[in-house]
Amino acid sequence: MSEFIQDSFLAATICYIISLAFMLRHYRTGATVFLTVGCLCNALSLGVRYYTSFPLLPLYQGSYFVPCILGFCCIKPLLSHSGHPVHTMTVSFLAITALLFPNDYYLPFLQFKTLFSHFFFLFGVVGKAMFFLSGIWALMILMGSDISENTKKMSSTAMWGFFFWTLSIFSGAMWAYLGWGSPVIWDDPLLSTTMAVWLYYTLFLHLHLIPKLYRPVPRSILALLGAVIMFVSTCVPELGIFRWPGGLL
Amino acid sequence: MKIVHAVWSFCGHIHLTLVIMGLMMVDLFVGYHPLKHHPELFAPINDMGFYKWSMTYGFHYLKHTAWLFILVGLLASLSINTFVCTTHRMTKLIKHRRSFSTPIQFLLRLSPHIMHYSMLLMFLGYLISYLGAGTHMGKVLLPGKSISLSSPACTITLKKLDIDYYRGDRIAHMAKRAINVKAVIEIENDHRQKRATLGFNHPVYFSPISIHLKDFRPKTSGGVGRRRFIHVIIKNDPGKYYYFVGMLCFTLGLFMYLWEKRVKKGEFKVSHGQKNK
Repeated sequence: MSEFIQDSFLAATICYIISLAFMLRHYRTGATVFLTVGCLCNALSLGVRYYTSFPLLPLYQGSYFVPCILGFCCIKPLLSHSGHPVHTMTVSFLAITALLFPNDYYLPFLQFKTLFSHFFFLFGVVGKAMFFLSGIWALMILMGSDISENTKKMSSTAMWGFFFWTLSIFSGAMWAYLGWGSPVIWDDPLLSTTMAVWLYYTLFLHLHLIPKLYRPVPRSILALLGAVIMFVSTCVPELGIFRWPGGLL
Repeated sequence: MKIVHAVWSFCGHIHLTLVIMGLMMVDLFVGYHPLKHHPELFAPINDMGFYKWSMTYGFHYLKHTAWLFILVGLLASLSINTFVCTTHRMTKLIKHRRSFSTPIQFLLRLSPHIMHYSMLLMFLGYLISYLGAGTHMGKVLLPGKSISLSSPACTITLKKLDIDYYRGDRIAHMAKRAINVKAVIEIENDHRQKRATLGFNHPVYFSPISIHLKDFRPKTSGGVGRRRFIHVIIKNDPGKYYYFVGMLCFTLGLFMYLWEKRVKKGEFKVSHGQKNK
């Protein structure tokens, strides 16, 4: 089963890369088809991973989940011709990162025996995908592509990212309280970076109160910076050590 | 009066929010490294509370813990800033409530302020919790044995301990490992008695305390004569009501905020107090 999980994720990554190649050659239909197939393979891999380990929580395997959610979110832009190679490039980059730096580490599962722990994880990965999407729209604004429409999309996705990130933090607090009697567990270093990302996007949503910064270019720079900060501070620490995917060598 | 007004304006200014939040972010990123490399310095906060921790670990290892003291100071500043800013804006909104076409629009407009006040309520909860919560650590219960607490005065007895072990083969590396723990405990003081089942993520409440299962033995099946016991955390946290109500209200405010954005985008139309898609 473990091989199937790895192979289906490898297939998903290859599909994402082919989709990127099609996008670079301006074959949108082919790119959309391969992105969809990649997302389905990725979802299958995740489904089997979740089923075979449930109720164990794949807490440090968000890197496999984010490209799938982001990929599904990118299908609509690709279909509506507002997509850009940056979309598929980001999905491919995230999938390759997960593939080369796998982290198959599970914590003792008795402590995960609550739905709040799964909400904490799942809302968190959806939030990350939304922040990446916001960063993609920001990059497109900076490249001068449909500034007005993309600014709306950037703001909207950042808002949804903040929504899911907040729900993830609250679910985590509930879980921590039920398990340890305190809403904050002070021995997880990701606690501080998670809060820092939350603060960053809180500030981002307050930009309308600062007219100098509430213009498309400064906002898109900040949205892009937010995605980079989020990736470096919350995704990179969850990656495992470098390893060639099984079967490639 | 002018000074008061100037101080009030300064305290609620958005630029101050920007500075405080920026500093908090930097501080939290700095705090990642001490938390990662010296978790043993921070884990006792949960058991000791912030005040006792700061008097011991906090001041003794100031090089690694300074960021947390700075964070507390910045949180206090952010609380004042948020209170002043949101009170100022809300007062204005209430004064101009007649200019909204429907009461729902007015209510939705209050959503950021609901979130701000909820955040303050959460901070208050954390403050009460870290300064006033009492924790009884290292309490071990053996089947049929009791422990006594002095504050609040009560006796806790472990009546029965059931541990289920994994027998399937779906989950790798779980063979013979415990998958469920049910500890039937009885708590009593002079006035009342309660019998309840304690489990992981399933605490037992006996006002004002809550009992959380921390650990147990044996963790694997097989073998004879092995000691059976549970290890519990006993908390008396008066701040929990505040931060959970705060979280609930913040979530409500967040939903209202998203709805307001949808209304603005034209995806929902609000008229005469009714919504139509």
